[in-house]
Amino acid sequence: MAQPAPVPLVRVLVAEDDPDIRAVIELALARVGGLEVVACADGAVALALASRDLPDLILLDVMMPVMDGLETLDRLKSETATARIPVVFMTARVQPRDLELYHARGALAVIAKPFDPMTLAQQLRRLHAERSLANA
Amino acid sequence: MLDPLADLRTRFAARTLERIEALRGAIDRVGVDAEAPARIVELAHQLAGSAGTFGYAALSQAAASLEAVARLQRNGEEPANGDLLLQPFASLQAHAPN
Repeated sequence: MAQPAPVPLVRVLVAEDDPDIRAVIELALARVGGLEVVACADGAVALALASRDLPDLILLDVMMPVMDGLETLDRLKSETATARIPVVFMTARVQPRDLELYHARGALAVIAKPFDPMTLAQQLRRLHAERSLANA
Repeated sequence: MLDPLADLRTRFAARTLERIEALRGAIDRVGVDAEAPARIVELAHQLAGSAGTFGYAALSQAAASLEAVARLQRNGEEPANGDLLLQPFASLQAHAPN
């Protein structure tokens, strides 16, 4: 029986409060990676954009003002419309107990900061493809 | 090959100078302004992250060190004392982009 093809990654929502890092991520995903990108600076805005746009994947910073990444993830998972959108954390806090916490709360993966802007889109595409095949 | 991040690096360098000034101001207010350690944690954390993203590893580590000391004071685990922040701040200044 033929393997189902993975669902392609097209649109990514990014929530990152640092403007320089946010600009690098947008460049990495849009210009280098060819993805559609919507970016914002806090979790509360990310919730609204996620509900409106239903992105293929959400890239979340952990430490953000207004609403941090963990609370944002909890809220995304609590809403029917956004519960199944895969969430990837991007953070410098990657001690084993941090990673356990992120995965326990439902994150698909964690990308450590500092990240490589030239391969970020490729990493997200791989994670998204693996997840879509696992759910097929 | 052109550096796709060239413009962003220039912006980062300018913003780093602003952040360093803001950090110095917040360090001067430790012991006087109860919110100063929290502000230092926030600024140092942001700088650690963005410096690492742009390849300034030593600056990132210096900012992370300052953040760690300020975090102890913010959380009340250490008494608020701006003098204890000066050495990690000096290290951070030394590694700032020109």
